Amino acid sequence: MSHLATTDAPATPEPAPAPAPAKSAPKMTADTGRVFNVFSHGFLFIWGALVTIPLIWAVIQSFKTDTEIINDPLGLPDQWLWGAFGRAWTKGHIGEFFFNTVLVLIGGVGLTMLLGSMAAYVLARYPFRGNRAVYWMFVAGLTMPIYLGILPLYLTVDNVANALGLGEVIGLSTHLGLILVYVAYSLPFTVFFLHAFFRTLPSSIAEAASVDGAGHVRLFFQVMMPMAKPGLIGIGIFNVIGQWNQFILPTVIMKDEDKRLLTQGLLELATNARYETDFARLFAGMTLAMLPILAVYLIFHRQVQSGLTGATLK
Amino acid sequence: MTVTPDSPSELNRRTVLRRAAAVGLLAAPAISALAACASEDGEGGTTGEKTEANPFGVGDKQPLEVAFFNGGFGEDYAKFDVAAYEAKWAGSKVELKFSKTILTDYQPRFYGGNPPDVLNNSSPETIPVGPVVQGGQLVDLTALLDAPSYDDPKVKVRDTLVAGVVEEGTFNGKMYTLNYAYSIYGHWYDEALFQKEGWTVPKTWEEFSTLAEAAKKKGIAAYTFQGIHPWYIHNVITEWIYKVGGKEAILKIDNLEPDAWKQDAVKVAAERIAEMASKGWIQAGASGLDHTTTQQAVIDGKALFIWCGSWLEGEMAKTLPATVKLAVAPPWDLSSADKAKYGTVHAAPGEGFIVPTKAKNPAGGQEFLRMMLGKEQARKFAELTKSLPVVKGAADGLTISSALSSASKVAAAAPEVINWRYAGWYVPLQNAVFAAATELAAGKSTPAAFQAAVQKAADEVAKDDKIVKQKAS
Amino acid sequence: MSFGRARFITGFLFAPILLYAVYVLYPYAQTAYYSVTDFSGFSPDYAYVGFGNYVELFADDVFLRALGHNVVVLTVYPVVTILLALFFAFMLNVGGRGDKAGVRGVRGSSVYKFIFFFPQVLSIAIVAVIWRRVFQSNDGGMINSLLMKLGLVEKDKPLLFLAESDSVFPPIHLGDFTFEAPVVLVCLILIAIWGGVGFYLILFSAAMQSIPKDIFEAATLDGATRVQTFFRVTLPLLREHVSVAWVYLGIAALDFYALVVGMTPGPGGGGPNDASQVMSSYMMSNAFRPSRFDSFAFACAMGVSIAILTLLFAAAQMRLTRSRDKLEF
Repeated sequence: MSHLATTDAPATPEPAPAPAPAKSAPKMTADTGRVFNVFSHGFLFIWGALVTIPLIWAVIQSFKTDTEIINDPLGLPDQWLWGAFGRAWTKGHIGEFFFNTVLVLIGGVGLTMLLGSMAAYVLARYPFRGNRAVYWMFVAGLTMPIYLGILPLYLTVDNVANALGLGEVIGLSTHLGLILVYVAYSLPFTVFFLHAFFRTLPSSIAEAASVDGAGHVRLFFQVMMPMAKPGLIGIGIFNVIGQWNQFILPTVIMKDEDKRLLTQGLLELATNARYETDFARLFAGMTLAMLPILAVYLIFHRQVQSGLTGATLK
Repeated sequence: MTVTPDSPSELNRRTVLRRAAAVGLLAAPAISALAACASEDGEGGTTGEKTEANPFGVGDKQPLEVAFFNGGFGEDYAKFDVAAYEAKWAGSKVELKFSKTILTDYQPRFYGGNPPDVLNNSSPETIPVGPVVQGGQLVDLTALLDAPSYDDPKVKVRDTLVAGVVEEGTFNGKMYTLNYAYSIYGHWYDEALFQKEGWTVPKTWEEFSTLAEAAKKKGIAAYTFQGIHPWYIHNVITEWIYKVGGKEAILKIDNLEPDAWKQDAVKVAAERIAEMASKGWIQAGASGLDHTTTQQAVIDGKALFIWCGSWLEGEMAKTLPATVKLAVAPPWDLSSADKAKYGTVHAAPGEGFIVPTKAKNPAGGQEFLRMMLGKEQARKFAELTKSLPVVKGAADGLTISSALSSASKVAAAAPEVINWRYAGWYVPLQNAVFAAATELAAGKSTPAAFQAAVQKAADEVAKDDKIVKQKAS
Repeated sequence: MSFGRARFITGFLFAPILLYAVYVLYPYAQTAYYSVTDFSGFSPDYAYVGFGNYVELFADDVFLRALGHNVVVLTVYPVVTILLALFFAFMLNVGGRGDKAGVRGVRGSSVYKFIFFFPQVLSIAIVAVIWRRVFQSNDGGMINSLLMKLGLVEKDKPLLFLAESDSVFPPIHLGDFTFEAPVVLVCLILIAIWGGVGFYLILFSAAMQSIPKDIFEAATLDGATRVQTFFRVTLPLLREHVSVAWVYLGIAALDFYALVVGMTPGPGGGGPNDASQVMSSYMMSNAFRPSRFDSFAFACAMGVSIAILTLLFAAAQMRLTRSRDKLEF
C-alpha cells in the first residue's frame, strides 16, 4: 500500500540510538547546526510554554478566592485554599460524572473495536457483491456532522428501546443506550481506518492458517487480530479521544442528572457559575477533570504514540 | 381519533405502534402523532370529579411530572411546591426535574410527544411559544384564570394576579404562559458608594454626564453592561426608546410599522449609548465580559450602574459584601422632551410556566399552577428567592432584602410602568437588536448604522408570512 | 465452504450495519426528509414544501457570511496546523545534532511530544472554559492582564479578542458574499491549532521514524543542510500523510461547532454581530432558537448542505492529492 510500509518491525516510539560509529559531519554543517539547534529549541520551548501555561494558570486559579481571581488574575493566591475542590466534588458531582464517563468509554470503545474490526476485516478481505457499497456507506458517514441527525436520533433511541421492551436497558438516559450510539457514530472512521490496515496484512499467513483448517472466525480472532494489533491500538486511541471529548450525543441522550457525563457536567459547572458566582469551583472542577486524564496519559503516552505510529504505517 | 378510553387496548395499540416504528414501517413523527392521540385519550382516564375544590378534576394517585428551571431562583421553592402538592393529592407521586437548559432538554420531549405536565419555560434558551402554539401543543390557561383561587373559592385565580400577567402570557389572543415572578428592572448601583462619595443618583442626562466625568477621574466607569449576553443591552436601548418616545413610539415598534426604527426616539436612545461608549464611560472591555463579571464590577466599585432585573441580589449573593448596598434607579431623562416622565419603571412578569397538551396529566399540571398561585406558596417563593411573585400582596409584611424593597419602592412610585412585546414575538428582530445594540455599546458602530440594521430586520419580519403577526395596543 | 463463507460475512457484518443504519443513517435520512418540509421540530404536523428551504438558504445573508467564515477556517487552520506539526516533527525526529549518534531528534523530544499532545486529551468543555478566561476582554483576562503589566496595552483599552468583530484585513465583498476574518474567528482558529498540532505532530513523527535513517544520513553526508533535507527528503516521503491530515483537518474546519458554541458571545454563540458564525452554529441556532415555525426544517436544509459540501471537499481533496494505485479505500 503505502511505500512507507516497507519496514517490518513497528517503529519504536523513541528514536533508537544508532549503533553506527560516529560520523564526522562536515564542520560547516556543525556550525549552522548549532544555530539551528538554538532556533529549533527556542520554537519547541515556546510552543511547549503556550500549551502548558493556560493549563497551569487554570489550576492555580482553583486555589484562589473569587476576589483574587477577578482582581489579580496573574498572581499566586495569598493562601492556597483547597475548599473549591471539595465544592466541585460534592456540589459539582465531578466524581459521579467521571464514573459515568469511564463506564461509557470502556463499553463504547470496546464494542467499537470489536464490531469495527469485524466489519473492516470482512470488507477488506472478502470480496462479495455489494462489498464496495457497504464500504462506501460507512465511509460517507465520515463527512456527516453528528448534529445533523440529533433530534431524530433522540426519538430513534427511545422508540427502538421501547419496541424491544428494553427501555431501561438501551433507552434514553441509560449507559448501554449511549454506548450503542457511540459505537454507531464511531464505526465510519474505525471501518475506514482498519479496512486499510487489514488490506496490508500478508495473505500468505491467512492462507496457511486456512489450509490448517482454521475456520473464518478462528482465523480472524487468532491470526488476523493479533497481526493487526498496531492498527487496533491506533484506532483505539482515536476512539478513546473522540468518545472522551464527545459532548453533543450525551447532551441529547443522557437526560437524568445522575447519568450525566463529564463534558456535560463541566459545561454545567460553567453555566452554573452564571447563576451563583463561584469561579474557584469552576477552575477546581476543571482541574479535577484534567488530573485523571493526565495520569492515564502519563502512564500510556508511549503506547498512545506508538499506537499512532503503527496506525500510520497502514 | 375516537377511541374509547380503555387502558388495555390503548396499551396494545401503543405497543403495536412502537413495534411498527422499530421496523421502520412508520416515519417517526407519524408515530408520535398517533402516540400523542393515545395519551390524549389517557386524559379521559382522569378519575377525579370536577368540583369547586378540584376544578380540573385531578385524580388521586395520578403521577405528575414537573420540570423546573434551575437558575437564579434556585431549587428550594420548587421542592416546597412539590411537597405541598404531594401532601394534598395523597398518593400522587410527583417527579420533579431540574434543568439549566430547558430548550435542549425538553424540545425532544415535545417532538417525541411525551412532554412533562408542567414546564418552567425559562432560561437563556426557552421553548419558543409561537411554533408550539401553532402546533396546538400548549394548554390554553384561560380555564386556570377562571378557576376558583386556591385560598378563596369565591375569588377567581385571575383576580389574585397583579396587572400585566395575562397580557404578558398571551399569544394569538389566549394565555398560554403563566409568568410567575414579577421582575422590576432598572439601573442598579451601590448606594453605599454614592453616599461615601457624596454623589446623587442622576435624574437627567446632564446630571449623568457630570457624574460620569467625576467617576472617570476616580478611575470608575459610569456604566457597564453584561456584554456577551446581549439580552441585557437590548433591554436598555428599548427602555430608553420608550423613555424618549413614550408608549406611542414602542407601539410602532411592536406593531412593525414602517420606519418604526427610524423614529427620533430611537435615534436619541442610540445616540446616548454611542456617546457613553465614545466618551469612555462604559467599563473597558464590557462587550466581551459575562454578566457575573460585569455585575461584580458594580459591587466592587469599578462601575457605577448596570441594568438588571430585581433578581440581581440573589444572583450575586455569594460575592456581595455586607458593606455594599444595592439599589435601583429608574432611567434618567435622556432628552429635555422625553415623553415618559422621570420615574417611569420597566417591570414585567417573567419566569414562565406552561402546560403541554400532550402531557399525561395536564389537569394535574394546571392544578399545580393553581396551587403555586396560592398565598402560602407565593409567600414562600418571595421568602426563598427574594423576588416578588405575581400574586397580589404575597410579600406583604415580609421582611425582604434592601435591594428588593428598593425595587418595590421605585415601582410603587412610578408614574408609568412600561413594557414592550416585540422581543418575545419576533426572534429575528430581537436578534438584530441584540447584535446592533452590542456593537453600539462597544463603540464599534453608529446610531445611524444601528437604526438601519434593525429597521432592515423589522422589514424582513414584516414581510415574512411564515412569522405570525401579533397586535400590541 | 462457500456457504460457511457467506454465513461468516453476514454474521460479521450484521451487527455493525444494523447499529449504523438505525442510529446514524436513519436519523440522517429523516433530517434530509425534513429539509423539504415545513417541520417545526416541536409539532408532529408538517407539510411537504419542496426545495424552498434550500432556495432561501442561499439567499440568507447570515448563512453566506457563515459560509465565508468556514472558508477562512478551511484555508488557515489546516495549513498552519500541518506546517507547525511538520516543523516540530522534523525538529523532534531528525532536527537534532547530527554528530556522534548519527541523525536523531533534539534532546528532550519525548517530553516535548508528551506536552504537545496533551491538549488533545482535554475535553472541549475544559478547553473552552479555560480559553474564555485567557482571552477575557478586561484586566481579569490572562493575556490582557499580562500585556497591561508589560505596558503594551492600556488599562482602559483592553483587547477584545472574542468580542472583536473587526476583520484582521479589510473585508472583501463579492456580491452577496463577504470574505473577512474577524478577530474572534482568528482567536478560535488559534485555539484549534493549539489543540490540534500535537496530534498531527505525533502522526508525522511516526511517519518520519519509519523513513530509514540512512536516507537522512546519506543526505547529510552529501552536505545537505537540514532545511534542504526537510524539503527534498522528508516532505516528499510524507506526502500521503499530509494529505490524510488535510482531509481530517478540512472536515474539522467545516464543522467548528464546539468552539463557536462554547466560546463566543450571544445566544448560541456566533457573535458578536455574527462575526464568528459558521454554518454549523447557524444551523444549530436555527434548530434550537427558532424564529419562525419552520426554522427547524430550514436548519435541516442547512445540515444537508454542510454534509454535501464536506463530502465534495473530501472527494476533491482525495482526487487532488492521491494517486489511486497507491492508496485505495
